[in-house]
Amino acid sequence: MRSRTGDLGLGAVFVAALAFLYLPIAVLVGLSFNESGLPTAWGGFSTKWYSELARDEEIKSAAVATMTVALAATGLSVLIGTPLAFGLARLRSRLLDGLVFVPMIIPDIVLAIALLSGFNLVFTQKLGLQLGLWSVVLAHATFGIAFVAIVVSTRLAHFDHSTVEASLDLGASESRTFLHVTLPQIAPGVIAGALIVFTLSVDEFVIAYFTAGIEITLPIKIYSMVRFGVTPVVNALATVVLGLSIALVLASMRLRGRQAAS
Amino acid sequence: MSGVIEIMGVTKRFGSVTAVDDVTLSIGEGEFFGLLGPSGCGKTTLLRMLAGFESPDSGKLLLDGSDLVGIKPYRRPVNMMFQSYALFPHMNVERNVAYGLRMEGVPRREALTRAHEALALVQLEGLAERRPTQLSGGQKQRVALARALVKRPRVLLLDEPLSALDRQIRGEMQIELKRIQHTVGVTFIVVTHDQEEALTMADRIAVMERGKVVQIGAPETLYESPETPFVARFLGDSNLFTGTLDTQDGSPSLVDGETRWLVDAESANRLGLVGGAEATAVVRPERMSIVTASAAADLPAGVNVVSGVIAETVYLGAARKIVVDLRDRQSVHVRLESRAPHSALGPGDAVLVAWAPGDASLVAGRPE
Amino acid sequence: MRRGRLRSTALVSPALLWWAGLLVLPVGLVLAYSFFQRGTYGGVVYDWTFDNYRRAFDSLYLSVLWFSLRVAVEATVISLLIGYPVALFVATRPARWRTVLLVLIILPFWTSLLIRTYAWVVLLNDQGLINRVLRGSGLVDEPVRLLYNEFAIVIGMVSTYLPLMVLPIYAALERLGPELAEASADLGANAWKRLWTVMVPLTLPGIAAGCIFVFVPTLGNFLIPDLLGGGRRQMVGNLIQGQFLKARDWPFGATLAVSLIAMLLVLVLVQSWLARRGVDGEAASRAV
Repeated sequence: MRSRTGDLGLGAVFVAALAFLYLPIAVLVGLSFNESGLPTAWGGFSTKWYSELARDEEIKSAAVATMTVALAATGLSVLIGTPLAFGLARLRSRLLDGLVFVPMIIPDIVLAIALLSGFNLVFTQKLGLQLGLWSVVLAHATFGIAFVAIVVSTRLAHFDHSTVEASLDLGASESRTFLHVTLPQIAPGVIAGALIVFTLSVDEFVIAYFTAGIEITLPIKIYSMVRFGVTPVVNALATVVLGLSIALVLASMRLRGRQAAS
Repeated sequence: MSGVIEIMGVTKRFGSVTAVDDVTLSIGEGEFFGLLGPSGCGKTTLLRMLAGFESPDSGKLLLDGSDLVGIKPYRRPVNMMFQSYALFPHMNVERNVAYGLRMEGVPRREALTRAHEALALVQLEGLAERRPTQLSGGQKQRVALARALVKRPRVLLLDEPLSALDRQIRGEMQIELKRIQHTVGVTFIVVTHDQEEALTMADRIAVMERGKVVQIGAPETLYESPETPFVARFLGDSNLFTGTLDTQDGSPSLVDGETRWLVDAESANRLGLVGGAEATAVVRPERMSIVTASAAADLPAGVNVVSGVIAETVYLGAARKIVVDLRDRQSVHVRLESRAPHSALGPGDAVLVAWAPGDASLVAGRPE
Repeated sequence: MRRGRLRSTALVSPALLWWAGLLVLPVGLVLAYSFFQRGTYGGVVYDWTFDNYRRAFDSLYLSVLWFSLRVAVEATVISLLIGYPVALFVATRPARWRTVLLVLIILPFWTSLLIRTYAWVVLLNDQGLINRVLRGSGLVDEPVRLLYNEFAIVIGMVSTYLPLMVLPIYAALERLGPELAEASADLGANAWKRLWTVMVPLTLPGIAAGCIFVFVPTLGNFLIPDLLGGGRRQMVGNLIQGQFLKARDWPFGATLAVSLIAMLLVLVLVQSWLARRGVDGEAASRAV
């Protein structure tokens, strides 16, 4: 029924779209191995920018800061978001279900200034605390909770509640049932959600920019490198970060694929 | 004599709906007991109260004399086979079956040994390492059964055990379940909406309607002597003839306008029916026969004969169901063995349908 | 069952409390700030005023608002024109290919926005790859101004948010299934007619969702116009950032933020009203 030309046309658009999406990435990766480091000329294959990257102390401390923030934000998101998903499944309130999406769709600039205002008023002015990595953690967890809740909720929707009753029937108490039956079944969902939040936090710029005070996360460092003076090292850094993000996303998808199969 | 399970005056309400309405039942040791009824009649709620997932609003649930109400599901010597099987997807078959034993504290090796014995009982020996997603419906069901039985419960509850299976497998499983129950000797309580299942498997059946138990008895009793039109209609195909009882002229009959149906005097007396009462005669399709006009003359007196036209014939394999429209009134179903004479008749043919009063059961009242 | 309600409340409380303190209150604070004034040294003076809103309607800021809207609409329309065929292509492939193809489209979205935008800076500038190709092939003599203008910003938006347009449309197409299009073909409709009389109407909810997913982050975007607009072309997001971090006029920045939220709220309400009026393709194809 589908015409061949129609199909080819669609295919052409698809390929063009893919090229459009991946072209910038490809260019960056290519440049990172370019001896001259400039887009004007190809100077030969070289990894010197990567070596320079490895030596850059500022970048390394920014990376460590980013990892710390991401881990802390992910932890908080899982601890608060997982119970939220369970509560939502029991309460079945359409209002609450919709509310969970708000932190996800709110424009990041709005969240950024709102948190800056709030933190400034409460912590800086009243308590004399300077903003730092801790405020970024709080900010990232604010949307991270929503992501974990949504991913785990999807998992719970497919969860067969009769396995919980079967476990109770067979002699396990409520807590043993949670440990042996519920948790193993939702664990892949929790981990997938955690990976998503981790990835988002590592890459997140706007909110961190406003709430980090004088601290520097990796995206903030990249931004200043891009905005105010480019060295080709940033291409190597960009490639590394890209590679890690892709690996994390694929891992998260694998996990969700596996849970869908079981 | 009190049975292993005594349900005494149990009532359960959900909001404005009374799911179980003052039910009293006694189930004996080693019985294969059926709870039969349409969806919403309360049978599943009753089962879940026995398992411990719901609590009755009033009444007692006695197991071996002690009240189960308030006791958590995991402390009851009662186990359930779930309609969806509820196998743990993250464990293989043998760990699924051994789960209940491990929760009791049985050491791993012994638990696995007993699990394998249970799997042998349900004839699934070779599948111990498989995961639930790799099993067929029938296999999953056997695993669920083994998992519940391995704990040697006092009572095994089965929630619509065969509803999800193919017809072919269902027939085999019905016999399997009976065999296993006999071997193990555990009291089985089965909930089903399928009367054929109940009739095949159960020793005794309680028919439920809208939260109440309407009749309890052995399958044959329920089938041959239903006490209400509902039971008559729910178990098996039936033809219903309603009328007002008239006891004049010796032989009693049901009068409906100009029509008279002769009925059995003994049944009428047993039910305590007096002239003027409304009653319904229930005749099973296999008790009705089709006669030719000439043969009708040879029928003994006291047999009901009525004329009609065949509306359709349904071929059932081993038998034929013939739907006959009686003139100006209802349709009746007549069941004939496929080889019987008259099986060559078809739609549009005029026939005579006959039934003897002694072949009908009489129930008081009229069908709703 | 009462114990159940208590437990459910306990489960959702930490999250709700968190959001009350870290989302609702701060946003409320911003709303409040929009009615106050900037202090001499950049703090907030708690004098109630509407001045900020009057200022926001000044032609200077209105033109920025207008520019933002224009960019958002352009980005959304272009994403739709590209995204629908892409979604249609994936949806009409054999089942085992679809996941792979979808992952290919979605993957870039999960990588750093900052890095991808920077990559466009590299690509689009006068010495960048695209200009080199154009000049090398003799199409142009001078480098074409591709960067630091509306063109670059829109390109950046589309390349970032295109996957978000594809996903909901794909989901809608998948739910629709091939039956209705086949029925329409059986009745004599060619491909173009099938598209417009059957598929687009029945995937309207998916299209609407995709448009929202692109429009919302585009309108309030800060990073892409910052890097690709080079300070010359500003959108609302840049203005807000400028007020908060440079001019230190938080109240006015708050006003701009409130205007942004208001625009988005109107949009979301319009979309959900349209969604209620539209027909869900899945339900329709089941009902027939």
